[in-house]
Amino acid sequence: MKKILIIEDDQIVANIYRNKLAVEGYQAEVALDGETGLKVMRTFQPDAIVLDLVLPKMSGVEVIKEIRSEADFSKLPIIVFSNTYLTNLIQDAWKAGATKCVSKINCPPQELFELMRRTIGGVVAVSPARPKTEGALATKPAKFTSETDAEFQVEFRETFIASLPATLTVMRAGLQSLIKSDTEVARLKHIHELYRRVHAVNGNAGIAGLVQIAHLAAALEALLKELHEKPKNINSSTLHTVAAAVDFLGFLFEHGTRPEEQEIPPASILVVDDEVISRRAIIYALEKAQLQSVSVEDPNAAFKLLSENQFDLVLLDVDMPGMTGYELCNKLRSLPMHKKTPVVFVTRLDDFNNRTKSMMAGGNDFIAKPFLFIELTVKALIHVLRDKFQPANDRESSGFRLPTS
Amino acid sequence: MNPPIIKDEMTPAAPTAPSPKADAPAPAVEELPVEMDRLNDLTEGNADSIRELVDLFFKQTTRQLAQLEAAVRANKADDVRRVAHSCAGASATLGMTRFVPLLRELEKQGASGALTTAAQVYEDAAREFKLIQNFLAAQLNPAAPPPDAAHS
Repeated sequence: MKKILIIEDDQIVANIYRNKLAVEGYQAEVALDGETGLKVMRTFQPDAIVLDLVLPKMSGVEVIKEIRSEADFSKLPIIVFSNTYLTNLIQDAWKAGATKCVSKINCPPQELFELMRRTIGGVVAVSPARPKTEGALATKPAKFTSETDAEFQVEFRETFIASLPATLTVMRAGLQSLIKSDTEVARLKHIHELYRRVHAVNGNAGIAGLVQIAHLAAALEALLKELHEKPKNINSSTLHTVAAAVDFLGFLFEHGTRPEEQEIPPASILVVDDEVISRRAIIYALEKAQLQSVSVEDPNAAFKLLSENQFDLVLLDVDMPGMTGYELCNKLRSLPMHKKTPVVFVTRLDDFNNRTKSMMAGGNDFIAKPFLFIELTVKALIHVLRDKFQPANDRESSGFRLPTS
Repeated sequence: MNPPIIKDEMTPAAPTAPSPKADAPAPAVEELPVEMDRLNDLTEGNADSIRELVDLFFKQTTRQLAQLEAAVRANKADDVRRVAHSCAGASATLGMTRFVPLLRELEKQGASGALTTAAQVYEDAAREFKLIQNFLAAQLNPAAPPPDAAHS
């Protein structure tokens, strides 16, 4: 029997994968942190390792390096669970010696099994063994067969959805603590706690097949990680984006759990900035979420495009020659098809703190330059997903306006 | 649906770069001229993409600095504001941490219409740009001599 070690700190997620692999005929063990994982590896001698990159104590990348430094395990297949928005972390994992990187957003247990079968070969299915570790789902392996994967996912989804109000309460309390923090130490502590919570939502939503929640949680997780690692980026813009993302996750918890409506809607996004490097940065940030855009440098050309085309989101630089972003926003509001199109101003932090002009011009939101790329990704995802739930003719432009106090 | 209110006093955690004075002392802690993380993030660490982006930045900034020098000499405050603004935006996007405050100062003086120390700030900016070029040349071509050395 082939052996698989799962190193994953979310015990529910770990148990689900372990149970699935067990019913498919693998012998699977779970370790809940990197250090334990390395110890178990030496005694258990697995044929493959499934590793979450975000772990307490020792990071997933450090675990890979340790594994690769030991001669017995230098060729051992390591399947890494990654967050597609953490591109640098994924690169580090590849460099350290990961065999495959898979996204948690789209990796239900069946996918992991298929991947494992391709990587280390198939096995003859045997009766499921009871898992050794305890967990919320530890009593359900007998139901968890290949034939009942869909049934299991429904059951898991219902359990997950039932837990979401409590999760949201904790996240909101964490957010309020973060906002009220008056020292950097306290801020970092609250960011880290929120980050761990969002990381868990991402993993569980992926298994439950709730792709929209998983996507937004994954992007928010990446933003929180960046803020934790680079506290100088904590400012009114990034905190506002975090708050808006938590708020919108709450909306999705309530309205975005229908399994048949989980696709990320295709969106048409217009980027207007007279400076080529800034345009490139915005486009890159959008592409992180597979959001396609059209970009123009001339505000007059942008207005012509807006006159002839429907867009789902417009990102506007403020200071442009010929026509300011505010003026362009005012003009586009005169077009019937863009009366309610979300408009986000990309502007300097100084301007971010002076919001009046944006509000007067009919803008919906702000992001401060130089923005974190992932911050813009999160913001765009919120507007694009929200648009899906609130068609243009029903949308209230005040819904996501900046707080005015 | 409205996000929780964020108090203004929460912002920002880290101080924004102060407006530099022409005679301001050097910062006590040595700060690198380029935040390489941002460049790496924007290009996903692809060496060819970094080179292409850096090349674009060098060409654009060389042209803009020439425009700035001419505008400062001609005392054309609005031109100074406009070019400095554009140059600062691109530089901030790429993480040119020491260069940006100098450009913001030029932008500020241009907006106020009083280019009081603009000539000196421009000189500081041009010097900083040279340091950026040398730094990036060393990062991207570790074996090659820096541009300054090659021309000396």
